[in-house]
Amino acid sequence: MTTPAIALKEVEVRYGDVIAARDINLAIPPGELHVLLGRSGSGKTTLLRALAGFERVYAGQIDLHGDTVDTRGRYLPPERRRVGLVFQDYALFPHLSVAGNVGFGMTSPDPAEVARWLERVGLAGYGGRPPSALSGGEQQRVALARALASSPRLMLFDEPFSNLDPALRSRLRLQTRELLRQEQITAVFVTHDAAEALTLGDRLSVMHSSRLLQSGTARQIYQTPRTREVALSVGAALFLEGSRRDANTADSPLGPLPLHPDSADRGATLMLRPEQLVPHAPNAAPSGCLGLGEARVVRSLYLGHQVSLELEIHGVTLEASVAPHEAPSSSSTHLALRGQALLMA
Amino acid sequence: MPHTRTLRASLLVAALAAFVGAACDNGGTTTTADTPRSASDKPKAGDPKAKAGDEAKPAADETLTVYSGRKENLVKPVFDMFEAETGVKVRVKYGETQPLATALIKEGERTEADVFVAQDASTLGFLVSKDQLADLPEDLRNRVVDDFRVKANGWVPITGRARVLAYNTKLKPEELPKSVDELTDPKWKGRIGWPPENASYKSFVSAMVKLRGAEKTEAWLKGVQANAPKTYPKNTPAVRAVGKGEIDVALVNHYYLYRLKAELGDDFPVKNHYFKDGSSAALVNISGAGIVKASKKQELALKFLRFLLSDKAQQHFAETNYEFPLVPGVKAKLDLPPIEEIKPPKVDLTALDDLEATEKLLRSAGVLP
Amino acid sequence: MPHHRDGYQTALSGVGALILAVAVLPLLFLGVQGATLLNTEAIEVFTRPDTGWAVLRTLSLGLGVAALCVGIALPLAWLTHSTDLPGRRFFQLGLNLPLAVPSYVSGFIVMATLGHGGWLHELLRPLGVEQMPEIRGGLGATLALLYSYPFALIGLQAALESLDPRLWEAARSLGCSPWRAWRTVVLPQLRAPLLSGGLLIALYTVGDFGAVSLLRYKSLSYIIYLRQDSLSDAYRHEAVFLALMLVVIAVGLVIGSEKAGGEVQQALSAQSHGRPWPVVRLGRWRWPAFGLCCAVFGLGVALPVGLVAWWLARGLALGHTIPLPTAATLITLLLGVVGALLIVAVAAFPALLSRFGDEAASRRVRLTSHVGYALPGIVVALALLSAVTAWAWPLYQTVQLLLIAYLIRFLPLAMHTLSESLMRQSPSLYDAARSLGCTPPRAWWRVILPNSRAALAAGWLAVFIAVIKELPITLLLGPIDFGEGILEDPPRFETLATRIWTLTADEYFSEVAPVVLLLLATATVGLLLRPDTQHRRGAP
Repeated sequence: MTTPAIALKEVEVRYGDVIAARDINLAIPPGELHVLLGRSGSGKTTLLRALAGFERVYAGQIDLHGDTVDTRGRYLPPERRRVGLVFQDYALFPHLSVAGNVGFGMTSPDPAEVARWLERVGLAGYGGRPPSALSGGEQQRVALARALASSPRLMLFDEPFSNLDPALRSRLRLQTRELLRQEQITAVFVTHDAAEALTLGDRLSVMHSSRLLQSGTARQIYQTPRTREVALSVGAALFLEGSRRDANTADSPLGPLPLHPDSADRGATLMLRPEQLVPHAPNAAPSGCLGLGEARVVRSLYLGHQVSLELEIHGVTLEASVAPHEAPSSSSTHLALRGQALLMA
Repeated sequence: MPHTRTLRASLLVAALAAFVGAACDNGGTTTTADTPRSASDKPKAGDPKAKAGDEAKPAADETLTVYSGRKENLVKPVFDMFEAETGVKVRVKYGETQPLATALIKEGERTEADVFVAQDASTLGFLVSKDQLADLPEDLRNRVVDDFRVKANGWVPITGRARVLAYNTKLKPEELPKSVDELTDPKWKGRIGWPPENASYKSFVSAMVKLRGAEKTEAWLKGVQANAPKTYPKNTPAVRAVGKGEIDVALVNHYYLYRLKAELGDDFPVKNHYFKDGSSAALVNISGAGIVKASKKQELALKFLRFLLSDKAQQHFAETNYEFPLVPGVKAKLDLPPIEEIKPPKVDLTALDDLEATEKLLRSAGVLP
Repeated sequence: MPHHRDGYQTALSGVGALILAVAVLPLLFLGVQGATLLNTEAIEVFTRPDTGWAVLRTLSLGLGVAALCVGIALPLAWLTHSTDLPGRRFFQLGLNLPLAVPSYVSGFIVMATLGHGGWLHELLRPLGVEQMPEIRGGLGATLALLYSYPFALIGLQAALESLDPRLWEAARSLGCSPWRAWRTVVLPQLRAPLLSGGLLIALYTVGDFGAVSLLRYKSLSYIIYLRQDSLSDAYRHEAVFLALMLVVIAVGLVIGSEKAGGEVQQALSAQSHGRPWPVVRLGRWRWPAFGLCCAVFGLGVALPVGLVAWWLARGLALGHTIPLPTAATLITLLLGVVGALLIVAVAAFPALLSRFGDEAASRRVRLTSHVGYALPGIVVALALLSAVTAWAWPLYQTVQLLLIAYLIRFLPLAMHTLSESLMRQSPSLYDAARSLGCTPPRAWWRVILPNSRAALAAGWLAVFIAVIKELPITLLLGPIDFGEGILEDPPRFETLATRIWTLTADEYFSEVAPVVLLLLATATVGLLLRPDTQHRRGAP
């Protein structure tokens, strides 16, 4: 197995008496784009700052490319970690031009090299301008070029796109992703935006209350979250009481449901995603779906690309989201389950 | 504005260079070596050429260092006269008398000072008590007129300043008090001013203690205090306040009046009233000078002191500063009464214990905080 | 968390601590001296009722002057920041000038204007006013010390300079009237500079001697001078204890201002700097505002200038020859420029350390940097005299020593102004520089300092003016001649301040007039030399 680009072992970070991150174990292979997802105060930024060297671990160990950079008795300051950092507020140096910013971290600033980096982020010819004359998206790209130009072994992004408007945000996200892929550089993104977390990274880790709850691919996290917090961090979820009946089936208020193979061995909570519930005409359940019976439409909310429904079935209230053409037109509908339910510990 | 910045920077650099050059007192060898000297330059200290100079006069590079508690305008002309006459360069450190004395004591053996000039007897007495001043030859001490010779060896009086009551000329001479005791009369309420922090004022109170005893002095102080005298930090502001009519009379030294007349014009409406009653209010305070014991230029310092008591210097103090000369044969300015007429009390004010007692007294009487 | 320090931080903290140790040298000296005097009768000073009154007077003067000065500085700072005030640029600089008026001159001005027989009295006399109300005491001292308001103005101007204009624009776009936007958005951001400006003025006030002596206000510093000046040991010992009381008051003021929320708010974002502020239209307030600025400038600058000009005219009419102190002017200018550069350079280190170091270091810097400033100049001067004659004799009476002494005296002032402005910088600039390979000192040098020009300029200016006004240290510790061994005929060492002192002592009014004018001119030169960032009207 190759040496991970980042390895966190039993990491704990404190601010005075407050524990900001605890029991963090994480290994990120080289070239991976990894996302740390969590609400504010979850400890994700603390972890990022510890990786960069701005916070020290109270316990545990951080290895970068096999070098221990922080543990009790050993500490490598930020400037020697070769870590590129992109900030939420861009942190461009106001006293330097765009080119001056990009060349800042180079060992020997070379105008041609600077120009090349500006071209790669689509800002050819912007070198002479002051950072303040640039739009938010342009500043963000300068910050990216500046960090990459210092030939880091690792890139860290702290909520990099949160100050941008949505359209620009998704475009810049893709560009950044592409650029990092080309550079084959390991990157860690910190974000609180679930959509960003799911689309940006190869894998993501969910943090909550200063703990790292679960790491995995977007699909794994979305489909098989280990806890309610993880489930909710990446999207809406329905939770039902239930228990395992046998290897493939669970009992629930909706009747027996097929179980996801990655379900916990025992547990009392079943999780469904809203889009797994499919309304259909009587006796016309889509193939591969399990009919659940008749449901009353309590509320229907038209959202354009989809319709959000509140349904009551067997005394249980559920939320579902469906494509507009699938939405029931009357006050009752039949409901089917697509896929399987997940039993959580 | 890049050129403005460059200009500014070069200005600063130039100033810095000039300054660093000038500031390196001892390490300036490289700087001086690069600077071409003009032919008219005087030889410098330690320069072998200086030794071959004029043998009749003292070497031109000789210097004398004076610590002066008296202000530049009052004494510098006399120092300049000494320089012109002897070719000795007089370096002066001016300052407040008390901190200067402290500095002299702290400097100890290594002091640069050769002569200490003070505006009051008490500081000189203090320095004598700390063994800082050298004994002076009899003939120099005897140069001073009989009445003003000081018992303690170590310093000589240079000039005298009489205590007076400065009064606004709207007062008629017959309204003036015959003695300071009358100032306790309620009719003077709100009309009196004095500078109680001033050394000469303290000397005046010390003299009163000597003549009358502490109790009576305190009673007098409290009596005047009851008339709510206005206090001033120094003599001059008190005299100026008399001129402005803020107060009618002020207990001050005589010569500040002339200082203010010179400054504000002869129509300044203040006159001096001399008590001439042999009381402490007729005291003549003395400024003086002594030779610093640690000085390596005792001879030159003595020469300097002799000069201060020369007819020429005394003449200047008398003419320009309106001070009382203290050597026989030199007359005070015509506007002043002859010093014999003032009838100053015969008290020795150099004992330091007296001054401490006076300060305590002034505090208990509420004159000083 | 001792192991949370990296090697750099430890080394830097060491150097920082060393600099601070220098700054508290007089304080330490005083403390040691006090300890040896505990068994003397001077200890009685603590139980005397007059002492209590003096403390009370000192506190009320300090707080009163600080509050009034802040009240003056606040509108002036805003009006000269980015409004359509007529002559805004002129006032922006000119309103800082009263700082150059030493308190021993401003005390004189108050007396000459409002005292018995003063200008106002002469105006009122024809109306039958024989007695003027007594101006001496608390009222006069307060008025004379109001000339220190630019201490607050400098800080407020720097704070506004670095305030993100988007805050203002956002408030205005949310429907706030200019007044409401100012009150709800700008003012809260100025809370810290207001408090710290007030603190600085309070400390300056409690340590001042010139004004309280001329105006007969029996505050602690005045009594300290009296005791210090005594030939009696017991009295001089009392001065030590009184000075220590002043230190306690200073500590109280610093802690009080911290409690009141003197923490500087951080910038919201790193790039607020380059944005120009929009011009704020004053509307119908434009001319009243102009009137206010004129009035303050008139009383703060034109009045002193007018007064000494009048002295000068009177002297010339009487046929006085009035020498111009050329050497003193040059020496003053050089001392001011070099001294301020040196002090700001040294102060930058602990200031940066406290900004980017840990919490505890920051607090240590705050306390030590302020307390020393409240000590009267003569106390510091005598403490240094003792220290230098005992341990650093070769330095005694050299320009180098003078610069070191200024450093000790004014380091607090510089550090105050610097750390204030540094607090307002976004921390991510520093982090970005570190992550791009800069060691802490390199990050300071390449990123923080170039973006702290306003702070450095403000610090430099405050120190420059303080140095050119300084009196007791210059008198006692300065060399006898200037440039001895270098200049062929070294002039006697004197500054404009010592010149003013010697001339006012015996009221050589006409001769002192050009010296005061030169001091003001020198301060103006300092204002113009200030390496400032006044480029914000340039279009992005």
